[in-house]
Amino acid sequence: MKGTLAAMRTITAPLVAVVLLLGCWQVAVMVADISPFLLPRPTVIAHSMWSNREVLFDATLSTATAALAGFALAALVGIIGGSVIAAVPVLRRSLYPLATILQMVPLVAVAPLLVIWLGFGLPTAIAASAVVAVFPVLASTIDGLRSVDPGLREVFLLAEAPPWTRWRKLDLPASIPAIVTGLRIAAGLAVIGAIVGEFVSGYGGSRAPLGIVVMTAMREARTELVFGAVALCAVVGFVLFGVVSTLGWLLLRRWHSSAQHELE
Amino acid sequence: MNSAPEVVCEALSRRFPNGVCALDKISFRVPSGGLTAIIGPSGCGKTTLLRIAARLDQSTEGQIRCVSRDGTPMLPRAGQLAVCFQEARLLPWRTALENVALPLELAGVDRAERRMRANRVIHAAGLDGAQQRMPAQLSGGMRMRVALARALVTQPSVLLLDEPCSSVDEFTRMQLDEEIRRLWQASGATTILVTHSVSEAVFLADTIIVMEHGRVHATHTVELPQGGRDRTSLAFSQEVEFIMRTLACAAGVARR
Amino acid sequence: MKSLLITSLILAAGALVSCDAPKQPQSVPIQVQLNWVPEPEFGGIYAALQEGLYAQAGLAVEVIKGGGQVPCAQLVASGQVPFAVVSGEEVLTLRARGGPIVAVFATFQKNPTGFLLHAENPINSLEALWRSDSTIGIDPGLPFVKMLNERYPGGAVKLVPYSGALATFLASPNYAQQCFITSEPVECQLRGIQSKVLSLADVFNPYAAVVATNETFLKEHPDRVDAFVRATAEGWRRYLDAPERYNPAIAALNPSMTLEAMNIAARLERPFIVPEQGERAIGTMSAARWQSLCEQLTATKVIESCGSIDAAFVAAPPAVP
Repeated sequence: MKGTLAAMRTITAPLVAVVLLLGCWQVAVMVADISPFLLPRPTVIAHSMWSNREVLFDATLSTATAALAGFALAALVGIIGGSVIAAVPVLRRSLYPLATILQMVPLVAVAPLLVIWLGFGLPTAIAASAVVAVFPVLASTIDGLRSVDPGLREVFLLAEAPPWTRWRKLDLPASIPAIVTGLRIAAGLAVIGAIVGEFVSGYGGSRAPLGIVVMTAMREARTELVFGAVALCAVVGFVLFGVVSTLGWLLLRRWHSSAQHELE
Repeated sequence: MNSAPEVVCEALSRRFPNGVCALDKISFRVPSGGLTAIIGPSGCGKTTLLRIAARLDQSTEGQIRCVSRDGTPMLPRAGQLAVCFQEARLLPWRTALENVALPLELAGVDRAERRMRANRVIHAAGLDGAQQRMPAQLSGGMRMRVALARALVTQPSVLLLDEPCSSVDEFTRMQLDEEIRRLWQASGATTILVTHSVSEAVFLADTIIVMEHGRVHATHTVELPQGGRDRTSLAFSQEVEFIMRTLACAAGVARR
Repeated sequence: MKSLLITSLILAAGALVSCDAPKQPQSVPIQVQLNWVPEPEFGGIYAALQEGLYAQAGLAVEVIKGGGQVPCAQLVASGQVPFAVVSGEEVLTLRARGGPIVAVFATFQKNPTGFLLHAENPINSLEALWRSDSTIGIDPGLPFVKMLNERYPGGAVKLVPYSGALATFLASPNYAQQCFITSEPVECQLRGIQSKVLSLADVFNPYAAVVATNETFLKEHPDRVDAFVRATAEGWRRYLDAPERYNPAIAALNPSMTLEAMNIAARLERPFIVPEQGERAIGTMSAARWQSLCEQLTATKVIESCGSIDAAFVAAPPAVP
């Protein structure tokens, strides 16, 4: 009972904030008489979203697919790559700085190359998503693995546990708090990456993803539809973030302090 | 009747790369099934000695080895030598039971058997009912009991205890010492206990080695019967007083 | 300190020069936002700048480079810049959404856009292209896509975003992409790649590279708009007469296009810019042309209505004979 109440409070607070914000926006636009092509009213945006619901639904599904696949790829590559890099000192010295530099490469500049390598369509959007999302996972995995308590390592050393066993039973579980943090950052980035990928990678058939809807609406000066599509991008990111956070919480709630405060 | 090996330490030295000499030609032997306490001020080399014995560190010269009862040298396999560290070193994501069972799991013991054996030591360590608790939900004393149970679950023949009670209060320490004595006697393991508590050393050990500056300052045999040592008895106080005097002497030498 | 001294010397010298000029009015700073990087499609503006035509008209014009992602029409409609180069359809579309944008000068009288294909591509008409299964690079949201879909239904073309570069085109023989007559075809020619262009003008023929302002600016400063348009038209006449004289300055601003390419482009664009009435009518627009664009845009439901066509543009003033 108390838990339900607390959960309701956590949901209600941001909801009220959003409603208030939209209300202020609506009133401000009406009072200041701002032209709809500059800043449309929330009601106009909502109406536009409703009348374009089929296009937007398909677009959201496409973008969510690309973002989810990109995120999964980034998680896999980040955790495995991070583990290998953390385990081999030579790689840590040589690859880790390289990965840091790769993070600085602007995706917008790389995206056209991805098209040339992977062709138009979903694969490029997935790759673009994975490219931006992989670094936080990689970095947090490496940091997590490197900060495993050496005392616990000695426990495994005494038991003469082989490296693979130690990774499975000690290093990985001990790094989960750090990895979850990296994954949460990656969730938001994966959506941004997918959208940027879509800007360059196509809109085959009727199922244009959100990135293309944004560009089309911008070109047709449908500012309200731009806002609607951007809001859906945010929703995709928020849902992905929420799923990752919840999974992280489920994994950590029994033992890690980061997951225990959230219940209070 | 006891198959535990004798632990022999021969002219053991450890010099760190920065020039600090932690151990300087230390020699002693712990008889099969015996409990030798090593006592001394902080930084006298006690922990280094234990880490070399556990093969977590290496000596610069000399060695510490195990000799089985028929006189042949033996190299304890994983599980035959167990260490209980100063901190409990439990995996925070595992329950008490899963932590205790960890060494068996790593040794490839099957699920049902390791559950049974872990429950047996948990019972022996007085932890009944705490099996499913997470380390964060346990008190400091209980965490140390879990660590002890984990060290004993493989039925080691050599047991190394590194100040196992240093992080708990005096009251809990007395209870834990009682537990350690019982568990040690039941296991029959040859045991080295590193401590800086004189009363703990007198309560548990049959031999006390006073270390100072990486050397053996004195070796003392505790003339009290194993089994029912009474901390309040006169004989116990006399033993404590004697060790105290030895320590003070060592400290005096250090001051000079 | 030293640089301050030099600066004041230059300023003083400038003051002396301007004293000599006959009755120079105070220059008004004016920005013009381009919708692409400096290229011969903006040749007249750069020629007017180089010849001091704007300065003579009392305008201190600053040209701002653009790119694919710059929302030029929105920038000018919201008053961020007094002038911007946009496309004809952008003017009507934004007006339909309540953007107070007005066209004042139309550079291209005939639509200079089309599709770029490899010369050996068997497709030879827009219809054949649209009914094929080619992959075509097009900016999402361009209105002629809907027109082509309606005119040539049932095709299986795969539309992908236009990258603004040739890399994909060069790599795939069956790929087609939107192009600007002065840009991609010239680049192909210089790289020795045989290409051809399917012009869109027969299907969709709006004014292109339209200089637009916003209603407020037009109302408050009709004299500046007039001066800007006249100077730009004169700039175009001079540019088309001798593009080689002005291209070096443009090439200096755009490292991605060579001087040679710009000279070729200037020759190519001339028939698209000079109207039937001759050079005197450069930049002028007619209500009939705007009306037919409006009909195309409403027919394809890009917009619902155009409002008053006469309010959408200002007929360019005739050139001084």
